[in-house]
Amino acid sequence: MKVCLIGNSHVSMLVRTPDEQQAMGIEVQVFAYPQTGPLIYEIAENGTLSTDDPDICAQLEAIGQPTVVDLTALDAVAIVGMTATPFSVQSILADHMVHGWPGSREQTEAARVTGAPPLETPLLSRAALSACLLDTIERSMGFDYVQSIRKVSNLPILIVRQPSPSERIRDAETEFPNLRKVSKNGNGGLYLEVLTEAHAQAFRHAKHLAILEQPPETLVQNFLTKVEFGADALRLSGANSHDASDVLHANRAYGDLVLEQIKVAVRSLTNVA
Amino acid sequence: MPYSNLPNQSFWASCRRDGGFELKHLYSPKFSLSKGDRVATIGSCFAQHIGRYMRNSTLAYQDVEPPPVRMSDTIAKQFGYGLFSARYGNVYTVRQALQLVQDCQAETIRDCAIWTRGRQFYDALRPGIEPKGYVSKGEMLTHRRDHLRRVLRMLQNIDVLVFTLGLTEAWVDRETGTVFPTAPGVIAGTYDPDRHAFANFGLAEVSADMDALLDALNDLRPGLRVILTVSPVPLAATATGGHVLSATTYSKSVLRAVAGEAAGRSDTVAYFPSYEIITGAPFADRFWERNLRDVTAEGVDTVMSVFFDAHEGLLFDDAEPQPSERPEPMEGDTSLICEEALLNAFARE
Repeated sequence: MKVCLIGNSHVSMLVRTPDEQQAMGIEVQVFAYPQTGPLIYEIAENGTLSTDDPDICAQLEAIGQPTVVDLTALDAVAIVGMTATPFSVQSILADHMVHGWPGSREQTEAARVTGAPPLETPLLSRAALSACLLDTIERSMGFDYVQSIRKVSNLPILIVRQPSPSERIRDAETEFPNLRKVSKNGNGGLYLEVLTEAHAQAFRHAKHLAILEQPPETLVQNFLTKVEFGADALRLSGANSHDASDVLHANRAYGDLVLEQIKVAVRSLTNVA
Repeated sequence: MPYSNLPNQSFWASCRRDGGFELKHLYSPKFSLSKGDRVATIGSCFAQHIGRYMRNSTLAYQDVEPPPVRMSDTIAKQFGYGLFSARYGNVYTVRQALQLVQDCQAETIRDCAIWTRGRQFYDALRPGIEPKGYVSKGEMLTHRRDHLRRVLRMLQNIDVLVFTLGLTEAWVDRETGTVFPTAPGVIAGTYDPDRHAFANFGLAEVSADMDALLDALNDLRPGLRVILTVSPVPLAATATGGHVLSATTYSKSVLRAVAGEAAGRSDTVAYFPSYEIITGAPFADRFWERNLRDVTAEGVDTVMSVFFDAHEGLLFDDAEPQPSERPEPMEGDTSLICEEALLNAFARE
């Protein structure tokens, strides 16, 4: 089974040596660039994915990957990261809150008293939040790649969402105080719930496509990635690990679970196709 | 002779001789507006244009329910953000505006104004601002309550309110008198003839509503300056069973008369002639799109130029939306959010 991983730095959790790939029964090609993913690309009608961006080319060459992908030689494409994440939800809700969520309960309860002042944090309806997230996904590189690939190919496509941040964000000394607040106020599970709904909505019309959820055994509080699935996560170069303070990337142990998901999903989509 | 000392603009023939029909003299502000004046807008669809220009002026345009920073403009408009100074949606009738102010004052939550569609709940008093509805009645009521409090606080703190009068026709809950901006069943809810009645408010009713509204506003903010204007946009449909042109003429006549009278009675209430500029015979169909209902970008520019030329120095030099930012001239102006336009869907082909 040959799969091309298109994405950003989160692709690294899925990269294996040729021997490992053979043992796992999956051959992987990488078309990735850190942070944004490979923004500049072209897909020819004959199914050739390529880029002429010097930075992306240099990155691909540095990790020993070709700058051209023959989609017709693949069994599937996995879009890794490059859609919406818990950070997307958090940025939408930076100055708003959703009624009924644990983090808003205290304020909305107090507001039931007649003559109370307006809520300190304005409300955003669940529907408006979902619409925002859907819009975010539809404007994402991941969505753009799906649209572009579908113009030339019916190849199975897998959406591998960016892993949730590590449970280490609960430590006061790590970055992302706002997400730490979310993990404490109990909204985290709802963050993943709205993300799952929005992804399903965004890709509802795409045939031969599966959205892979974060493996449940990797989650704590139904929101954050367990520490053991983030430790020693490799950079896209594969040469070294992310800084010890990194809370965004998942490691090979996590990647193993996702590669299994990919294999199962490809078989399922191929059978359906 | 009583007419001998009157200015040119008082004579039709003089206006006709002037290339612009003396438009520059059509509006003489009754009171001045100053940089930093806190101004809010409310009203029918056309008020959205006025708000857009006010935002780009040195006036302190109020928006008490802004969208999330990361929400795109398209989604924001769909959810009623940024259209007016609060998310009250289109306030078409004077009765609706009065009801809103009274609801703010008393924190009234109206049971008859909780509509459903499928499993979703809708605020019947502003059904368009949540096109997909609320997931629960609790969510809807909490949003409503907070909305009323924000609008109340806004009304207590503004210096100027611009109210664009739109319609005289409305749908009313027979038992409570609650007036809705849309007919039950159009966006949500179910039309029940035993419960819902059509109303076409007459001159005396609209006039009484206007007096009550102005009194209520003055109670909240003594000395509040109010600018009334009448939307030139014709009715999308009339529920009278009569001709939509007659219904439009009736509705706009009543609103224009009430606005004029209200302005004539108070030093703090002014009338601004949006209606005349767009619909006036001297301009024929110059400011209309092909459907003769949507106002062209040029029409809106002209209206707002008359306003800001009269209130000099308030508009930023580069404030007028550039041509590329203007909505494309097409039938069915998509730059405005108007529940009323949904009634077109009921027309037989």
